[in-house]
Amino acid sequence: MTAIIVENLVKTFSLAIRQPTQGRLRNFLRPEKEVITAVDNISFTVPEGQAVAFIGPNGAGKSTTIKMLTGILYPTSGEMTVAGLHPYKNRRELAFRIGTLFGQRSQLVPNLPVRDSFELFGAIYELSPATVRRRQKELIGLFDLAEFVDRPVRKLSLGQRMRAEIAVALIHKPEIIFLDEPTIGLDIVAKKSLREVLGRINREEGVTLFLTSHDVGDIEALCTRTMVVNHGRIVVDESTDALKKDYFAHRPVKMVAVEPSLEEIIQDIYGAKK
Amino acid sequence: MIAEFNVAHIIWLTNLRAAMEFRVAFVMQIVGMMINDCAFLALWILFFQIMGNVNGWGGQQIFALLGMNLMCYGFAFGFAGGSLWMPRYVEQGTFDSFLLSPRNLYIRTIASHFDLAGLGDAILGVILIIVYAVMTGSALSLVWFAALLPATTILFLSVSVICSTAAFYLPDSNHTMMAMFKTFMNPAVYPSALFPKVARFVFIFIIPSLTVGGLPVEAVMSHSFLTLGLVWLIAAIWLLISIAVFYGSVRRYESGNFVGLRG
Repeated sequence: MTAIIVENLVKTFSLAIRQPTQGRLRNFLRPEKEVITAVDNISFTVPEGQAVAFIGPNGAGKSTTIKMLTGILYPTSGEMTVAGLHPYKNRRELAFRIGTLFGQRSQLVPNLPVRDSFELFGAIYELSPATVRRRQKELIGLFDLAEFVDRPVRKLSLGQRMRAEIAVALIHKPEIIFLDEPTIGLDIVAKKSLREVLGRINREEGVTLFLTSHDVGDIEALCTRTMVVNHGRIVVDESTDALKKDYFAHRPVKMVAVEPSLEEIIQDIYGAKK
Repeated sequence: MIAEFNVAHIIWLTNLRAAMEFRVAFVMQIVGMMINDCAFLALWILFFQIMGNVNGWGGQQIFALLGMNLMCYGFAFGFAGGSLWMPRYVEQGTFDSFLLSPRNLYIRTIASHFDLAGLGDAILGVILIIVYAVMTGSALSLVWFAALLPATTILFLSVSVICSTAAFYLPDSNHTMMAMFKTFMNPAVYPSALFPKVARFVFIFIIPSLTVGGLPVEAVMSHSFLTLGLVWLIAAIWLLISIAVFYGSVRRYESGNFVGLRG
């Protein structure tokens, strides 16, 4: 089965551009418009259960693509289905089947304990109180939240908050998870633990992962396939292993000489005198 | 639809619990707004003491007018104040979370936030209506107010949603939205008797300010089923317009990754 089908997807934005050669009044009254093509005729499919990285530089069109796939943005043209549904036509049905995590956004209730967000999202996803309690218990164990689940979200560290964010996003057992820079701002330990959990969900529960990240570690740890986008187009689409072999066959190694410690310098000077 | 209102109720309770985390701020906002409203009421009472009745309107009617206004403002924004936050949601890209929610987008958006001060308005509004009923000795007026309140609250919310959709067309639309909304809201707190015929027509049918203020009070005073029906009809029309405008505008949403910068 195919989790995601994208055919000739295009998204353009219109932007008013200030011309430095024109006066301010003219810029205000008759601004010139520029059409920016954020996503430029891309096509791809993702089979169920696959973990895919969708990477590229800032402004390449990664987030715009994710936002179209999740029903946030309307495409300018092209077709797509996610879990067999049209994201913008069947937005509500799709929302029951996907999970999303945007690293720069929070969906938890800041002034209340994490546990309250579980209950709120359980109600939003029409889960029975018994199901919410069961899923909450599972996710608290899976993401190791027990220590801070009763603490207000605003008091959590970034790493704790991100773990809680993704746990809450999984309350309804989504089939596909879209992750937009999930490890942004996290320390090495928090990144590692988040990757482990996501990897386990992908392997053990067959959940499809669609991930954008600037962190190569996320991609290597989680994704078997990598698509590279630039200027809104897919420029590379192959397995992560092949990508490493093809593009990173020669790895530059930087060697840094360790400076002697102050103690060694003193020993050198005074030892020599002796 | 019942499921949507159940979820909206749970969201409201969650927001209320979150607001109650800060107890002093919680009480201050509610009481502060009630004091502010009382000052406005005192001014009107003073006005009628000096000027006497104006076209049949006096102190009693002002209790009814302000009570009605405060109740519908309070119930609208004390329970569903998300429309006032829409410009912020759109500007900062946080509207994404409502589009990702499996709920009715219109209800989810307006239920996303509640105005604590609005609860103060609603409480004082109920008190003023009870005072009006005691002053006029008419318990039946309470039934009339109850029959009118859902319509005026729906109308209030619908107009606020329409004004807020400016956010999808204009950048930095918060001030534009508030200016548009105040154009609607300000005439609502004046006695309908002060409006000449043309102005009355405009402020009932085009900018429906009197439909949430003076017109319901007239319906209560005259026990007019025709006026009651008119208020409900206007509210229904504006609700439908607001739904059409809202969903039409959402298609223009461009999301964004807002990052604040201070110099």
